[in-house]
Amino acid sequence: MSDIMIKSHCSINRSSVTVNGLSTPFPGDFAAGIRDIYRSNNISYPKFFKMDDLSKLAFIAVELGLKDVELPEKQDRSKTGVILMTSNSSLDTDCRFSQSINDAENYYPSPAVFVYTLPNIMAGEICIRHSFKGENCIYISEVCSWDFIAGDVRFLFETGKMDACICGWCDLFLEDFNADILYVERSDTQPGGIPFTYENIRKVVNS
Amino acid sequence: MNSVFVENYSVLTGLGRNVEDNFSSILAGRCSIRSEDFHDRKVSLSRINNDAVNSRCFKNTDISRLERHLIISVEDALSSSSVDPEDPSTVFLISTTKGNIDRLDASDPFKIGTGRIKLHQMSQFISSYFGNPNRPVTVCNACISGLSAIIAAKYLISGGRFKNAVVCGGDNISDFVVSGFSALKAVSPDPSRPFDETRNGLSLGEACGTLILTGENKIQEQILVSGCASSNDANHISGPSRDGSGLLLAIETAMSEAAINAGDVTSISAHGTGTVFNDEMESIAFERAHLSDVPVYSLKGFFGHTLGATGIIESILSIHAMKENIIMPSGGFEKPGISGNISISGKHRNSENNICLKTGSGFAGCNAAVVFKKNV
Repeated sequence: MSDIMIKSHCSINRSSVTVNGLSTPFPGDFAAGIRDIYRSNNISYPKFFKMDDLSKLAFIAVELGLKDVELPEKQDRSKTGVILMTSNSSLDTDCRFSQSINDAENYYPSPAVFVYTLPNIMAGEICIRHSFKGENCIYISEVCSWDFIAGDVRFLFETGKMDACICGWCDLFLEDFNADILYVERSDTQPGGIPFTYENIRKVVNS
Repeated sequence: MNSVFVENYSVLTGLGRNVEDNFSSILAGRCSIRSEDFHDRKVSLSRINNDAVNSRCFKNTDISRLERHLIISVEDALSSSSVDPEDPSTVFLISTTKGNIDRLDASDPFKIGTGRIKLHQMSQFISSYFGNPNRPVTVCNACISGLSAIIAAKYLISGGRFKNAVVCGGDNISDFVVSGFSALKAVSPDPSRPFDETRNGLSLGEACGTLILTGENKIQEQILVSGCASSNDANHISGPSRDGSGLLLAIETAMSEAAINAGDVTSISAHGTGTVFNDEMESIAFERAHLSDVPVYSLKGFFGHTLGATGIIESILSIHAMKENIIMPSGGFEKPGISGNISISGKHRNSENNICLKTGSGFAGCNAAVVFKKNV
Protein backbone atom coordinates (compact mmCIF):
# COMPACT_ATOMS: atom_id res chain seq x y z
CA MET A 1 0.00 0.00 0.00
CA SER A 2 2.98 2.28 0.42
CA ASP A 3 3.02 3.28 -3.24
CA ILE A 4 -0.20 5.22 -2.75
CA MET A 5 0.02 8.55 -0.95
CA ILE A 6 -2.60 10.60 0.88
CA LYS A 7 -2.16 14.09 -0.57
CA SER A 8 -4.89 15.95 1.27
CA HIS A 9 -7.90 15.61 3.52
CA CYS A 10 -11.04 17.60 4.22
CA SER A 11 -13.78 16.89 6.71
CA ILE A 12 -16.99 18.87 7.16
CA ASN A 13 -19.62 18.34 9.84
CA ARG A 14 -22.06 20.40 11.91
CA SER A 15 -19.37 21.61 14.25
CA SER A 16 -16.28 22.10 12.14
CA VAL A 17 -14.50 22.27 8.81
CA THR A 18 -11.06 20.66 8.87
CA VAL A 19 -8.59 20.91 6.00
CA ASN A 20 -5.31 19.04 6.43
CA GLY A 21 -5.49 19.27 10.21
CA LEU A 22 -6.57 22.92 10.49
CA SER A 23 -10.08 23.37 11.90
CA THR A 24 -12.57 26.22 11.81
CA PRO A 25 -16.18 26.21 13.04
CA PHE A 26 -18.91 25.33 10.52
CA PRO A 27 -20.63 28.67 9.91
CA GLY A 28 -24.34 28.34 10.76
CA ASP A 29 -26.97 25.91 9.49
CA PHE A 30 -26.22 23.82 6.40
CA ALA A 31 -27.76 26.06 3.73
CA ALA A 32 -26.17 29.29 4.97
CA GLY A 33 -22.94 27.69 6.11
CA ILE A 34 -22.10 25.88 2.89
CA ARG A 35 -22.73 29.09 0.89
CA ASP A 36 -20.56 30.98 3.33
CA ILE A 37 -17.69 28.55 2.79
CA TYR A 38 -18.18 28.80 -0.99
CA ARG A 39 -17.90 32.60 -0.85
CA SER A 40 -15.13 32.91 1.70
CA ASN A 41 -12.95 30.59 -0.38
CA ASN A 42 -13.55 32.65 -3.55
CA ILE A 43 -14.88 29.69 -5.47
CA SER A 44 -16.43 30.71 -8.77
CA TYR A 45 -18.68 27.94 -10.10
CA PRO A 46 -22.30 29.04 -10.64
CA LYS A 47 -23.48 25.42 -11.09
CA PHE A 48 -22.90 25.04 -7.35
CA PHE A 49 -26.15 26.89 -6.62
CA LYS A 50 -28.18 24.38 -8.66
CA MET A 51 -26.87 21.36 -6.76
CA ASP A 52 -28.79 19.55 -4.05
CA ASP A 53 -27.39 19.60 -0.53
CA LEU A 54 -25.56 16.25 -0.76
CA SER A 55 -23.75 17.35 -3.92
CA LYS A 56 -22.99 20.76 -2.37
CA LEU A 57 -21.40 19.03 0.61
CA ALA A 58 -19.28 16.72 -1.56
CA PHE A 59 -18.38 19.53 -3.94
CA ILE A 60 -17.18 21.89 -1.17
CA ALA A 61 -15.25 19.13 0.64
CA VAL A 62 -13.39 18.34 -2.60
CA GLU A 63 -12.83 22.04 -3.39
CA LEU A 64 -11.24 22.63 0.01
CA GLY A 65 -9.28 19.38 -0.08
CA LEU A 66 -7.80 20.13 -3.50
CA LYS A 67 -7.09 23.81 -2.87
CA ASP A 68 -3.33 23.39 -2.49
CA VAL A 69 -2.98 20.22 -4.55
CA GLU A 70 -1.34 20.34 -7.94
CA LEU A 71 -3.49 18.03 -10.06
CA PRO A 72 -2.11 16.29 -13.17
CA GLU A 73 -2.83 17.99 -16.52
CA LYS A 74 -6.48 17.68 -17.58
CA GLN A 75 -5.75 15.14 -20.31
CA ASP A 76 -4.02 12.96 -17.71
CA ARG A 77 -7.03 12.55 -15.45
CA SER A 78 -8.60 9.57 -17.22
CA LYS A 79 -7.41 7.37 -14.35
CA THR A 80 -8.58 9.68 -11.57
CA GLY A 81 -11.57 8.05 -9.89
CA VAL A 82 -14.24 8.91 -7.34
CA ILE A 83 -15.08 6.21 -4.76
CA LEU A 84 -17.49 7.39 -2.08
CA MET A 85 -19.61 5.84 0.63
CA THR A 86 -22.82 7.26 2.10
CA SER A 87 -25.53 6.12 4.48
CA ASN A 88 -28.58 8.17 3.55
CA SER A 89 -27.93 8.09 -0.18
CA SER A 90 -30.09 10.77 -1.84
CA LEU A 91 -32.88 10.42 0.74
CA ASP A 92 -32.88 14.13 1.58
CA THR A 93 -33.70 15.06 -2.03
CA ASP A 94 -35.96 11.99 -2.41
CA CYS A 95 -38.16 13.37 0.38
CA ARG A 96 -38.33 16.80 -1.25
CA PHE A 97 -39.20 15.19 -4.58
CA SER A 98 -41.82 12.99 -2.94
CA GLN A 99 -43.40 16.05 -1.31
CA SER A 100 -43.63 17.82 -4.63
CA ILE A 101 -45.30 14.93 -6.50
CA ASN A 102 -47.84 14.61 -3.69
CA ASP A 103 -49.15 17.95 -4.86
CA ALA A 104 -51.62 17.15 -7.67
CA GLU A 105 -51.05 20.59 -9.21
CA ASN A 106 -47.37 19.92 -9.51
CA TYR A 107 -47.32 16.28 -10.53
CA TYR A 108 -44.42 16.63 -12.92
CA PRO A 109 -41.77 18.30 -10.86
CA SER A 110 -38.74 20.07 -12.22
CA PRO A 111 -36.45 17.57 -13.96
CA ALA A 112 -33.58 19.33 -12.19
CA VAL A 113 -34.83 17.97 -8.86
CA PHE A 114 -35.38 14.40 -10.09
CA VAL A 115 -31.82 14.12 -11.36
CA TYR A 116 -30.52 14.63 -7.82
CA THR A 117 -32.53 11.66 -6.48
CA LEU A 118 -29.44 9.54 -7.12
CA PRO A 119 -26.38 9.61 -4.84
CA ASN A 120 -23.87 9.17 -7.66
CA ILE A 121 -24.76 12.62 -8.98
CA MET A 122 -22.31 13.95 -6.39
CA ALA A 123 -19.57 11.91 -8.09
CA GLY A 124 -20.69 13.32 -11.45
CA GLU A 125 -20.51 16.89 -10.13
CA ILE A 126 -16.97 16.33 -8.83
CA CYS A 127 -15.92 14.71 -12.12
CA ILE A 128 -17.36 17.57 -14.21
CA ARG A 129 -15.68 20.21 -12.04
CA HIS A 130 -12.24 18.60 -12.15
CA SER A 131 -12.33 16.60 -15.42
CA PHE A 132 -11.93 13.30 -13.55
CA LYS A 133 -12.81 10.46 -15.93
CA GLY A 134 -11.77 7.33 -14.05
CA GLU A 135 -13.59 4.71 -11.97
CA ASN A 136 -16.80 5.79 -10.27
CA CYS A 137 -18.66 4.04 -7.49
CA ILE A 138 -21.02 4.97 -4.69
CA TYR A 139 -21.42 2.44 -1.90
CA ILE A 140 -24.26 2.66 0.62
CA SER A 141 -23.41 1.62 4.16
CA GLU A 142 -24.90 2.34 7.56
CA VAL A 143 -21.50 3.37 8.88
CA CYS A 144 -18.32 4.55 7.21
CA SER A 145 -16.02 1.61 6.54
CA TRP A 146 -12.53 2.84 5.68
CA ASP A 147 -11.43 -0.80 5.53
CA PHE A 148 -13.80 -1.36 2.63
CA ILE A 149 -13.04 1.94 0.88
CA ALA A 150 -9.27 1.55 1.22
CA GLY A 151 -9.44 -2.08 0.05
CA ASP A 152 -11.38 -1.09 -3.06
CA VAL A 153 -9.10 1.87 -3.80
CA ARG A 154 -5.94 -0.16 -3.28
CA PHE A 155 -7.24 -2.87 -5.60
CA LEU A 156 -8.02 -0.32 -8.31
CA PHE A 157 -4.49 1.10 -8.03
CA GLU A 158 -2.92 -2.36 -8.09
CA THR A 159 -4.83 -3.37 -11.23
CA GLY A 160 -3.68 -0.17 -12.95
CA LYS A 161 -7.20 1.25 -13.33
CA MET A 162 -6.58 4.27 -11.12
CA ASP A 163 -3.56 6.44 -10.46
CA ALA A 164 -5.37 9.00 -8.33
CA CYS A 165 -8.74 9.35 -6.67
CA ILE A 166 -11.13 11.15 -4.40
CA CYS A 167 -12.30 8.67 -1.79
CA GLY A 168 -14.17 8.68 1.48
CA TRP A 169 -17.47 9.34 3.13
CA CYS A 170 -20.17 11.90 2.31
CA ASP A 171 -23.56 11.75 3.98
CA LEU A 172 -26.42 14.19 4.54
CA PHE A 173 -30.00 14.13 5.77
CA LEU A 174 -31.56 17.46 6.78
CA GLU A 175 -29.17 19.12 9.25
CA ASP A 176 -27.25 15.94 9.88
CA PHE A 177 -24.21 15.99 7.61
CA ASN A 178 -20.75 14.60 7.55
CA ALA A 179 -18.03 14.45 4.90
CA ASP A 180 -14.57 12.94 5.23
CA ILE A 181 -12.73 13.00 1.95
CA LEU A 182 -9.17 12.13 0.91
CA TYR A 183 -7.31 12.82 -2.30
CA VAL A 184 -4.82 10.02 -2.90
CA GLU A 185 -2.31 9.62 -5.68
CA ARG A 186 0.36 7.20 -6.90
CA SER A 187 3.65 8.20 -5.27
CA ASP A 188 5.52 8.59 -8.56
CA THR A 189 3.10 11.29 -9.81
CA GLN A 190 4.15 14.18 -7.55
CA PRO A 191 6.30 14.29 -4.40
CA GLY A 192 4.75 14.69 -0.95
CA GLY A 193 1.99 13.19 1.13
CA ILE A 194 1.93 10.32 3.59
CA PRO A 195 1.47 6.62 2.78
CA PHE A 196 -2.13 5.41 2.32
CA THR A 197 -2.09 2.93 5.20
CA TYR A 198 -4.95 2.11 7.56
CA GLU A 199 -3.02 3.73 10.43
CA ASN A 200 -2.48 6.95 8.49
CA ILE A 201 -6.08 7.05 7.28
CA ARG A 202 -7.26 6.72 10.86
CA LYS A 203 -4.84 9.41 12.01
CA VAL A 204 -5.88 11.82 9.25
CA VAL A 205 -9.64 11.39 9.53
CA ASN A 206 -9.54 11.73 13.31
CA SER A 207 -7.44 14.91 13.18
CA MET B 1 -5.19 -12.44 -8.98
CA ASN B 2 -8.06 -14.94 -8.70
CA SER B 3 -10.26 -15.58 -11.74
CA VAL B 4 -13.98 -14.95 -11.29
CA PHE B 5 -16.48 -17.46 -12.68
CA VAL B 6 -20.24 -17.36 -13.19
CA GLU B 7 -21.68 -20.11 -11.00
CA ASN B 8 -25.45 -19.71 -11.35
CA TYR B 9 -28.16 -17.13 -12.00
CA SER B 10 -31.86 -16.31 -12.03
CA VAL B 11 -34.05 -13.56 -13.45
CA LEU B 12 -37.53 -12.29 -12.70
CA THR B 13 -39.02 -9.85 -15.21
CA GLY B 14 -42.34 -8.97 -16.83
CA LEU B 15 -41.60 -11.81 -19.26
CA GLY B 16 -41.42 -14.49 -16.61
CA ARG B 17 -39.87 -15.92 -13.52
CA ASN B 18 -36.95 -17.95 -14.82
CA VAL B 19 -34.12 -17.64 -17.30
CA GLU B 20 -35.57 -20.20 -19.75
CA ASP B 21 -38.95 -18.39 -19.95
CA ASN B 22 -37.27 -15.05 -20.47
CA PHE B 23 -34.86 -16.46 -23.02
CA SER B 24 -37.48 -18.26 -25.11
CA SER B 25 -39.79 -15.22 -24.97
CA ILE B 26 -37.00 -13.00 -26.26
CA LEU B 27 -36.14 -15.41 -29.08
CA ALA B 28 -39.85 -15.51 -29.99
CA GLY B 29 -39.91 -11.68 -30.01
CA ARG B 30 -42.40 -11.36 -27.15
CA CYS B 31 -42.52 -8.12 -25.20
CA SER B 32 -43.95 -7.47 -21.72
CA ILE B 33 -44.17 -3.70 -22.10
CA ARG B 34 -47.69 -2.17 -22.11
CA SER B 35 -49.00 1.35 -22.51
CA GLU B 36 -50.68 2.69 -19.39
CA ASP B 37 -52.33 5.95 -18.45
CA PHE B 38 -50.38 8.03 -15.99
CA HIS B 39 -52.13 11.27 -15.03
CA ASP B 40 -52.50 13.25 -18.26
CA ARG B 41 -50.31 11.08 -20.48
CA LYS B 42 -49.47 7.60 -21.68
CA VAL B 43 -46.36 5.80 -20.49
CA SER B 44 -44.97 2.39 -21.42
CA LEU B 45 -44.24 0.05 -18.51
CA SER B 46 -43.35 -3.59 -17.93
CA ARG B 47 -44.57 -5.03 -14.64
CA ILE B 48 -43.79 -8.28 -12.86
CA ASN B 49 -46.90 -10.44 -12.97
CA ASN B 50 -48.02 -11.04 -9.38
CA ASP B 51 -49.23 -14.53 -10.34
CA ALA B 52 -45.63 -15.47 -11.04
CA VAL B 53 -44.56 -14.69 -7.48
CA ASN B 54 -47.65 -15.13 -5.30
CA SER B 55 -47.12 -18.87 -4.95
CA ARG B 56 -44.23 -18.06 -2.65
CA CYS B 57 -45.74 -17.20 0.75
CA PHE B 58 -43.91 -15.15 3.36
CA LYS B 59 -44.62 -15.29 7.07
CA ASN B 60 -43.23 -11.79 7.53
CA THR B 61 -46.14 -9.43 6.80
CA ASP B 62 -43.85 -6.42 6.90
CA ILE B 63 -42.00 -7.51 3.78
CA SER B 64 -42.19 -5.14 0.79
CA ARG B 65 -43.03 -6.12 -2.77
CA LEU B 66 -39.45 -5.43 -3.89
CA GLU B 67 -38.04 -7.47 -1.00
CA ARG B 68 -40.27 -10.40 -2.03
CA HIS B 69 -38.92 -10.17 -5.54
CA LEU B 70 -35.32 -9.98 -4.36
CA ILE B 71 -35.73 -12.97 -2.03
CA ILE B 72 -37.45 -15.06 -4.72
CA SER B 73 -34.69 -14.19 -7.16
CA VAL B 74 -31.92 -15.13 -4.70
CA GLU B 75 -33.76 -18.34 -3.71
CA ASP B 76 -34.14 -19.32 -7.37
CA ALA B 77 -30.42 -18.80 -8.01
CA LEU B 78 -29.31 -20.58 -4.83
CA SER B 79 -31.64 -23.56 -5.34
CA SER B 80 -29.32 -25.15 -7.90
CA SER B 81 -26.07 -23.61 -6.70
CA SER B 82 -23.30 -25.11 -4.61
CA VAL B 83 -22.56 -21.76 -2.95
CA ASP B 84 -23.58 -21.62 0.71
CA PRO B 85 -25.12 -18.25 1.63
CA GLU B 86 -24.25 -18.79 5.30
CA ASP B 87 -20.55 -19.33 4.57
CA PRO B 88 -18.44 -16.42 5.91
CA SER B 89 -16.50 -16.46 2.62
CA THR B 90 -19.71 -15.57 0.73
CA VAL B 91 -20.70 -11.91 0.40
CA PHE B 92 -23.98 -10.37 -0.76
CA LEU B 93 -23.99 -7.37 -3.09
CA ILE B 94 -27.24 -5.52 -3.71
CA SER B 95 -27.79 -3.17 -6.63
CA THR B 96 -30.77 -0.83 -6.56
CA THR B 97 -31.50 2.75 -7.46
CA LYS B 98 -34.56 3.45 -5.31
CA GLY B 99 -35.13 0.39 -3.08
CA ASN B 100 -38.31 0.72 -1.00
CA ILE B 101 -38.97 4.31 -2.10
CA ASP B 102 -42.69 3.54 -2.52
CA ARG B 103 -42.84 3.27 1.27
CA LEU B 104 -42.09 6.96 1.79
CA ASP B 105 -45.12 8.62 3.32
CA ALA B 106 -45.83 11.28 0.69
CA SER B 107 -47.74 13.45 3.17
CA ASP B 108 -44.81 13.50 5.59
CA PRO B 109 -41.79 12.05 3.76
CA PHE B 110 -39.11 13.36 6.14
CA LYS B 111 -40.50 11.21 8.89
CA ILE B 112 -38.59 8.11 7.85
CA GLY B 113 -40.45 5.13 9.25
CA THR B 114 -39.42 1.55 9.80
CA GLY B 115 -40.00 0.46 6.20
CA ARG B 116 -36.32 -0.11 5.39
CA ILE B 117 -36.38 2.93 3.15
CA LYS B 118 -32.66 3.38 3.63
CA LEU B 119 -30.97 1.20 1.03
CA HIS B 120 -28.53 -0.42 3.45
CA GLN B 121 -31.45 -1.46 5.66
CA MET B 122 -33.06 -3.31 2.78
CA SER B 123 -29.75 -4.96 1.83
CA GLN B 124 -29.14 -6.05 5.41
CA PHE B 125 -32.66 -7.50 5.53
CA ILE B 126 -32.01 -9.56 2.38
CA SER B 127 -28.57 -10.87 3.39
CA SER B 128 -29.76 -11.65 6.94
CA TYR B 129 -32.76 -13.49 5.50
CA PHE B 130 -30.29 -15.92 3.93
CA GLY B 131 -28.21 -16.13 7.09
CA ASN B 132 -25.17 -14.42 5.61
CA PRO B 133 -22.82 -13.26 8.40
CA ASN B 134 -21.18 -10.40 6.46
CA ARG B 135 -22.26 -6.81 6.02
CA PRO B 136 -23.78 -6.65 2.51
CA VAL B 137 -22.30 -4.32 -0.08
CA THR B 138 -24.90 -1.95 -1.53
CA VAL B 139 -24.23 -0.17 -4.80
CA CYS B 140 -26.23 2.79 -6.07
CA ASN B 141 -24.82 4.20 -9.30
CA ALA B 142 -27.90 5.12 -11.32
CA CYS B 143 -28.41 2.97 -14.42
CA ILE B 144 -24.99 1.29 -14.20
CA SER B 145 -25.67 0.03 -10.63
CA GLY B 146 -26.00 -3.61 -11.71
CA LEU B 147 -22.73 -3.56 -13.62
CA SER B 148 -21.09 -1.67 -10.73
CA ALA B 149 -22.18 -4.47 -8.38
CA ILE B 150 -20.70 -7.12 -10.70
CA ILE B 151 -17.49 -5.06 -10.91
CA ALA B 152 -17.37 -4.68 -7.10
CA ALA B 153 -17.90 -8.44 -6.71
CA LYS B 154 -15.05 -9.10 -9.13
CA TYR B 155 -12.76 -6.86 -7.08
CA LEU B 156 -13.75 -8.62 -3.85
CA ILE B 157 -13.17 -12.11 -5.27
CA SER B 158 -10.07 -11.32 -7.39
CA GLY B 159 -8.50 -9.55 -4.44
CA GLY B 160 -9.06 -12.64 -2.31
CA ARG B 161 -11.37 -11.00 0.22
CA PHE B 162 -14.27 -13.39 -0.47
CA LYS B 163 -14.63 -16.69 -2.34
CA ASN B 164 -18.21 -16.27 -3.52
CA ALA B 165 -20.56 -13.39 -4.22
CA VAL B 166 -24.35 -13.33 -4.50
CA VAL B 167 -24.94 -10.29 -6.70
CA CYS B 168 -28.58 -9.30 -6.66
CA GLY B 169 -30.28 -6.31 -8.26
CA GLY B 170 -33.80 -5.01 -8.37
CA ASP B 171 -36.13 -2.05 -8.63
CA ASN B 172 -39.89 -1.72 -8.85
CA ILE B 173 -42.09 0.68 -10.74
CA SER B 174 -43.24 3.47 -8.44
CA ASP B 175 -45.00 6.79 -8.93
CA PHE B 176 -41.72 8.35 -7.82
CA VAL B 177 -39.75 6.92 -10.74
CA VAL B 178 -42.49 7.21 -13.37
CA SER B 179 -43.15 10.86 -12.58
CA GLY B 180 -39.43 11.63 -12.54
CA PHE B 181 -38.66 10.07 -15.91
CA SER B 182 -41.87 11.62 -17.29
CA ALA B 183 -40.74 15.04 -16.08
CA LEU B 184 -37.56 14.48 -18.08
CA LYS B 185 -39.77 13.62 -21.09
CA ALA B 186 -37.78 10.40 -21.36
CA VAL B 187 -40.65 7.88 -21.33
CA SER B 188 -42.09 6.63 -24.59
CA PRO B 189 -45.89 6.10 -24.74
CA ASP B 190 -45.27 2.84 -26.65
CA PRO B 191 -42.79 0.00 -26.09
CA SER B 192 -39.26 1.33 -26.53
CA ARG B 193 -37.35 0.69 -29.75
CA PRO B 194 -33.63 0.94 -28.99
CA PHE B 195 -31.43 2.01 -31.92
CA ASP B 196 -34.46 2.23 -34.25
CA GLU B 197 -35.04 5.34 -36.36
CA THR B 198 -38.50 5.80 -34.81
CA ARG B 199 -37.38 5.51 -31.18
CA ASN B 200 -38.73 8.19 -28.91
CA GLY B 201 -37.86 7.28 -25.35
CA LEU B 202 -37.51 4.48 -22.87
CA SER B 203 -39.98 2.08 -21.29
CA LEU B 204 -39.67 1.54 -17.55
CA GLY B 205 -39.63 -1.99 -16.26
CA GLU B 206 -39.47 -3.77 -12.95
CA ALA B 207 -37.22 -6.78 -12.53
CA CYS B 208 -34.84 -8.64 -10.25
CA GLY B 209 -31.86 -10.78 -11.04
CA THR B 210 -29.26 -12.73 -9.12
CA LEU B 211 -25.83 -13.67 -10.41
CA ILE B 212 -23.70 -15.96 -8.28
CA LEU B 213 -19.97 -15.48 -8.84
CA THR B 214 -17.17 -17.61 -7.45
CA GLY B 215 -13.40 -17.77 -7.42
CA GLU B 216 -13.50 -21.56 -7.70
CA ASN B 217 -13.79 -23.16 -11.12
CA LYS B 218 -16.27 -25.97 -10.51
CA ILE B 219 -17.67 -26.66 -13.95
CA GLN B 220 -15.89 -27.63 -17.19
CA GLU B 221 -17.16 -25.00 -19.57
CA GLN B 222 -17.37 -21.82 -17.58
CA ILE B 223 -18.03 -18.16 -18.20
CA LEU B 224 -15.47 -15.79 -16.69
CA VAL B 225 -15.86 -12.16 -15.72
CA SER B 226 -12.58 -11.40 -17.43
CA GLY B 227 -12.46 -7.62 -17.64
CA CYS B 228 -14.36 -4.65 -16.30
CA ALA B 229 -14.16 -0.91 -15.80
CA SER B 230 -16.24 2.15 -15.06
CA SER B 231 -15.68 5.75 -16.11
CA ASN B 232 -17.22 9.19 -16.04
CA ASP B 233 -17.88 11.49 -19.01
CA ALA B 234 -17.07 14.55 -16.85
CA ASN B 235 -19.46 16.37 -19.15
CA HIS B 236 -23.08 16.63 -17.96
CA ILE B 237 -25.09 15.15 -15.07
CA SER B 238 -28.19 14.18 -17.05
CA GLY B 239 -27.07 13.82 -20.67
CA PRO B 240 -24.55 11.48 -22.27
CA SER B 241 -21.44 12.89 -23.92
CA ARG B 242 -21.92 13.46 -27.66
CA ASP B 243 -18.70 11.74 -28.68
CA GLY B 244 -19.02 8.58 -26.56
CA SER B 245 -15.53 9.10 -25.14
CA GLY B 246 -16.47 8.13 -21.56
CA LEU B 247 -18.02 4.83 -22.64
CA LEU B 248 -15.10 4.25 -25.02
CA LEU B 249 -12.68 4.63 -22.10
CA ALA B 250 -14.56 2.01 -20.03
CA ILE B 251 -14.73 -0.39 -23.01
CA GLU B 252 -11.00 -0.04 -23.77
CA THR B 253 -10.01 -0.57 -20.12
CA ALA B 254 -12.26 -3.64 -19.77
CA MET B 255 -11.01 -5.18 -23.05
CA SER B 256 -7.41 -4.54 -22.07
CA GLU B 257 -7.93 -6.23 -18.70
CA ALA B 258 -9.54 -9.19 -20.49
CA ALA B 259 -6.56 -9.23 -22.88
CA ILE B 260 -8.76 -9.29 -25.98
CA ASN B 261 -8.96 -7.29 -29.20
CA ALA B 262 -12.07 -5.83 -30.79
CA GLY B 263 -11.99 -8.66 -33.35
CA ASP B 264 -12.39 -11.26 -30.57
CA VAL B 265 -15.76 -9.91 -29.37
CA THR B 266 -18.68 -12.06 -30.60
CA SER B 267 -21.62 -10.03 -29.22
CA ILE B 268 -22.37 -6.70 -27.57
CA SER B 269 -25.17 -6.43 -25.03
CA ALA B 270 -25.68 -2.67 -25.13
CA HIS B 271 -27.41 -0.37 -22.66
CA GLY B 272 -29.73 0.75 -25.50
CA THR B 273 -32.44 2.61 -23.61
CA GLY B 274 -34.40 3.82 -26.62
CA THR B 275 -33.77 7.50 -25.97
CA VAL B 276 -32.42 9.48 -28.90
CA PHE B 277 -29.22 10.62 -27.20
CA ASN B 278 -28.20 7.48 -25.33
CA ASP B 279 -28.40 5.14 -28.32
CA GLU B 280 -26.67 7.67 -30.55
CA MET B 281 -23.80 8.05 -28.05
CA GLU B 282 -23.41 4.28 -27.73
CA SER B 283 -23.26 3.76 -31.49
CA ILE B 284 -20.43 6.29 -31.73
CA ALA B 285 -18.52 4.68 -28.85
CA PHE B 286 -18.83 1.18 -30.37
CA GLU B 287 -17.61 2.41 -33.76
CA ARG B 288 -14.69 4.23 -32.13
CA ALA B 289 -13.83 0.98 -30.29
CA HIS B 290 -13.55 -0.76 -33.72
CA LEU B 291 -16.60 -2.90 -32.94
CA SER B 292 -18.58 -1.97 -36.09
CA ASP B 293 -18.84 -5.59 -37.28
CA VAL B 294 -19.90 -7.12 -33.96
CA PRO B 295 -23.65 -7.80 -33.51
CA VAL B 296 -25.16 -5.34 -31.01
CA TYR B 297 -28.45 -5.81 -29.20
CA SER B 298 -30.45 -4.14 -26.46
CA LEU B 299 -32.88 -6.23 -24.39
CA LYS B 300 -34.80 -3.19 -23.14
CA GLY B 301 -37.26 -3.42 -26.02
CA PHE B 302 -38.48 -6.69 -24.44
CA PHE B 303 -38.89 -5.79 -20.75
CA GLY B 304 -38.01 -2.13 -20.45
CA HIS B 305 -35.31 -0.27 -18.59
CA THR B 306 -35.19 -2.02 -15.25
CA LEU B 307 -32.87 0.48 -13.45
CA GLY B 308 -30.98 -1.27 -10.63
CA ALA B 309 -31.65 -4.69 -12.17
CA THR B 310 -30.64 -3.73 -15.72
CA GLY B 311 -26.92 -4.52 -15.60
CA ILE B 312 -27.53 -7.81 -13.81
CA ILE B 313 -30.45 -9.30 -15.74
CA GLU B 314 -29.05 -8.26 -19.13
CA SER B 315 -25.66 -9.75 -18.20
CA ILE B 316 -27.37 -12.99 -17.13
CA LEU B 317 -29.39 -13.35 -20.34
CA SER B 318 -26.31 -12.50 -22.41
CA ILE B 319 -24.29 -15.14 -20.53
CA HIS B 320 -27.07 -17.64 -21.19
CA ALA B 321 -26.91 -16.78 -24.90
CA MET B 322 -23.14 -17.45 -24.84
CA LYS B 323 -23.78 -20.90 -23.38
CA GLU B 324 -26.38 -21.59 -26.08
CA ASN B 325 -24.20 -20.08 -28.83
CA ILE B 326 -26.99 -17.76 -29.87
CA ILE B 327 -26.80 -14.09 -30.83
CA MET B 328 -29.87 -12.43 -29.35
CA PRO B 329 -32.14 -10.04 -31.27
CA SER B 330 -32.45 -6.36 -30.39
CA GLY B 331 -35.98 -5.73 -29.10
CA GLY B 332 -38.19 -3.37 -31.10
CA PHE B 333 -35.53 -2.72 -33.74
CA GLU B 334 -36.34 -2.46 -37.45
CA LYS B 335 -34.32 0.26 -39.18
CA PRO B 336 -31.17 1.87 -37.78
CA GLY B 337 -31.48 5.43 -36.61
CA ILE B 338 -28.04 6.17 -35.25
CA SER B 339 -25.00 7.76 -36.87
CA GLY B 340 -22.33 5.35 -35.56
CA ASN B 341 -21.49 2.52 -37.94
CA ILE B 342 -22.60 -0.56 -35.96
CA SER B 343 -24.32 -3.88 -36.71
CA ILE B 344 -27.63 -4.12 -34.86
CA SER B 345 -28.80 -7.69 -34.40
CA GLY B 346 -32.12 -8.34 -36.17
CA LYS B 347 -33.55 -11.83 -35.78
CA HIS B 348 -31.68 -14.14 -33.42
CA ARG B 349 -29.26 -16.61 -34.96
CA ASN B 350 -27.03 -19.50 -33.98
CA SER B 351 -23.39 -18.53 -33.97
CA GLU B 352 -20.35 -19.19 -31.84
CA ASN B 353 -20.59 -16.69 -28.99
CA ASN B 354 -17.49 -16.84 -26.82
CA ILE B 355 -16.92 -13.24 -25.78
CA CYS B 356 -19.68 -10.82 -24.87
CA LEU B 357 -19.17 -7.16 -24.07
CA LYS B 358 -21.86 -5.75 -21.74
CA THR B 359 -22.09 -1.99 -21.40
CA GLY B 360 -24.12 0.52 -19.46
CA SER B 361 -24.36 4.29 -19.09
CA GLY B 362 -26.33 6.45 -16.73
CA PHE B 363 -27.08 9.72 -15.03
CA ALA B 364 -24.08 11.55 -13.59
CA GLY B 365 -22.22 10.69 -16.81
CA CYS B 366 -21.21 7.26 -15.56
CA ASN B 367 -20.35 4.36 -17.87
CA ALA B 368 -19.42 0.74 -17.27
CA ALA B 369 -18.19 -2.16 -19.39
CA VAL B 370 -17.80 -5.83 -18.49
CA VAL B 371 -16.27 -8.56 -20.66
CA PHE B 372 -17.69 -12.07 -20.21
CA LYS B 373 -15.51 -14.78 -21.71
CA LYS B 374 -16.15 -18.46 -22.27
CA ASN B 375 -13.45 -20.62 -20.76
CA VAL B 376 -12.96 -22.92 -23.77
